[in-house]
Amino acid sequence: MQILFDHLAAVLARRVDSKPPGLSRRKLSAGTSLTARRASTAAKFFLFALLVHTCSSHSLAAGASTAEVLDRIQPNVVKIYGAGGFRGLEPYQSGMIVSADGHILTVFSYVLDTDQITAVLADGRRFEARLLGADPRLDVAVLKIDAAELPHFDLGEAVEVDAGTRILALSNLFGIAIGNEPASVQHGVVSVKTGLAARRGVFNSVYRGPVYVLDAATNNPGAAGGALVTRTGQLVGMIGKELRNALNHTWLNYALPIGQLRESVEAIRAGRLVAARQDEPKQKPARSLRLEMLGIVLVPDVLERTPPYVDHLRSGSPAARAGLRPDDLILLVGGRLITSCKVLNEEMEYIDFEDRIRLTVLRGGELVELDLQYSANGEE
Amino acid sequence: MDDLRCKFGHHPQASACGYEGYLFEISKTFQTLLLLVWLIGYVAIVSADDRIELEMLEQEAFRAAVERVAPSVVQIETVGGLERVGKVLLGTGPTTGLIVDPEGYIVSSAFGFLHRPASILVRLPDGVLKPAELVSTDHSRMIVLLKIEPDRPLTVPEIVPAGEMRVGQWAIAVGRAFDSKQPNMSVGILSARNRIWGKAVQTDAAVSPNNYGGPLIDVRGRVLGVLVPLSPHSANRLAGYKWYDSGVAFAVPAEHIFKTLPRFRKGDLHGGVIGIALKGKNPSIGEPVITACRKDSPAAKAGLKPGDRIVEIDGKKIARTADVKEQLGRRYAGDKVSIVVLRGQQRIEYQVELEVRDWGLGIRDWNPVFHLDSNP
Repeated sequence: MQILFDHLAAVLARRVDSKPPGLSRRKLSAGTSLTARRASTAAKFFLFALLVHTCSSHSLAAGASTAEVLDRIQPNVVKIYGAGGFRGLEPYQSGMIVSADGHILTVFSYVLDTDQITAVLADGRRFEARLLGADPRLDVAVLKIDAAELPHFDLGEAVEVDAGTRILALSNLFGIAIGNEPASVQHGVVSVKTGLAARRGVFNSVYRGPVYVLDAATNNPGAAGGALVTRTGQLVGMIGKELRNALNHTWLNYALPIGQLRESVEAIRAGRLVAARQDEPKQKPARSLRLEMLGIVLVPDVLERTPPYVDHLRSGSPAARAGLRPDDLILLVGGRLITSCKVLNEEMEYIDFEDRIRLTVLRGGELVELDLQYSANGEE
Repeated sequence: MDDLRCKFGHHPQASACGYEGYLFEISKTFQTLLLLVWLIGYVAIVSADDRIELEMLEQEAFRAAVERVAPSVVQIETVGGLERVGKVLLGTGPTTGLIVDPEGYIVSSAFGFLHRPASILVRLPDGVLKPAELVSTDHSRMIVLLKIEPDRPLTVPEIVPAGEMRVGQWAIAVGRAFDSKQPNMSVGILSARNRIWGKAVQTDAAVSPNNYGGPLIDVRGRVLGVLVPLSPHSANRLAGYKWYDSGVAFAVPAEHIFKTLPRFRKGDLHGGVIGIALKGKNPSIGEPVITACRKDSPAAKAGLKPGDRIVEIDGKKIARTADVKEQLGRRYAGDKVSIVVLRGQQRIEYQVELEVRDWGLGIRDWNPVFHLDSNP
């Protein structure tokens, strides 16, 4: 009970004494802390009333409603068996029923690359599943089983959530639910909602849109295609394939927002697959800008990650005219972080030779911004 | 202690708040109470959802806590540096840092700087980018201190005094590794205090390079500690990393960091070494009897001798080898300790100044025989 008081008091105290942020506690102590104390006393009183109420009218079955939520939605999640079973490729994944007559949303993967796909429901019923269609750009697929009056998620009722939202993840991770049993349930919070394409080459993923990063170990073999729901059972997302973060070499636990998939799923169900609404990865231009064109000569690239220091500049070149100097360290090109000479050269390939670019360089402990443009008419 | 409790930095709007702000706060309180009354009414009707309502309140508290610390959590990018240390491929960031001083001091995990970057950039929560200098490294707790030159005073977070921490309380790990505009969070509890010879607290929240260097906070948004990969079994710089996202993670207590800040600003900190070996291989049952004193070590210089039984360190009773390690393991080189030994029937007290372990190679980091090189 004390924990409950603490939490509510914490929420109230936050509302009361965290604003304005950063204000010294001493200044507030005369007025606001008192208010905070009153608020927390009031909170305790109300909560006490609440607890008396619930304890008297109910058996003390703690967690009953999470269990009820799961009783309701667990039948919506299915286990999918198909191709694989060698070289570490597990022949199973997860899926969710999205219509009463047997449409199943799942990830598009090698598991579906067979004529014999089996979907096993939470109650153990087995169905032969047909691949209705897939959207390779989103890595989603829709299967169909011949059944009726199935429990299912309504994609139209899926919700968007923020960081901190408590979630439940349902999937057949590691193929543990091998018998006539429902998939596994994990809990956690949404760590952050972020884009997979924030930095080039970080994630080797076909899908480039926003994802919910999770703080639970959800993305394991067999989990892809599973359901992410709120603690009240509202559908939020679909657990994605295993992905490794190329920047820090950690495995990412994440789910794709249903809102990103809905259009494709509807199109596949209707038999017409339209182009998914998502940003294509930036294409390289026909003729890229090169450092030589700007007159920039970097230090020799001899290390694995040579810091991109300017060695010297061709006199009269665009870079020299723009005010770049030897020993400047190039840190950003058009807002993108440059971590080495190699990365700088790669980044240049995405810039059209006629485009104006903005460089941010480190010079004597200060950040300096410069605008550069190649002029084809030659140099003065 | 009191000043530690009141670690709020300057804030540009701080002076704008007076009586009106107070009235505003009261009206907010009433709003909250009204909400609460509504909530209770609602719960009374749909009382099967009582548990869910509690969960929603907790969820709000988690968010509020993260919001509160967010102005002190920065994103750090590095340029250049090594590709790997040993066999471990190192990332290029971004990593997370925590502001500890309004004038621009920021702490982070040494893990994010093992590749010895050529340049460090700090992106403040308001988006401003600043070049940073690495001031010093705490080799005992794997924390680094960075310095930037901010345009205006930075927001220093409130901290939780070590004495207020309770095992089982909520602990939220906060990073800024995905998006510089919004922090990433993972929720768990405080699993233990006084871990790794008192150097760290433990949590089961998901901790990885995605939040190393960031704060572990309580449900009120106050900082419990700074997240770092550590291991009780090894002092290797990469030890602890293999436990990322495993449910076992450590944070160096914020109180310790603020206390040692003046010393940390002056230069590197190293684990203090005494240079003795004790009897027996199992620290939990081994007797604290000295079997060897390394030549020229602090122990030898102070006059400790093989055969001495350690009975007290800085007033604390010593019964087992592990007690010695617990007393010395958290200390820095340069710290002075008083050690009482029993030599035959005689009680003798010695003052020993711990040093940096400079005899280095040839000693396995945690070999119990030499475990009193005290940098586990």
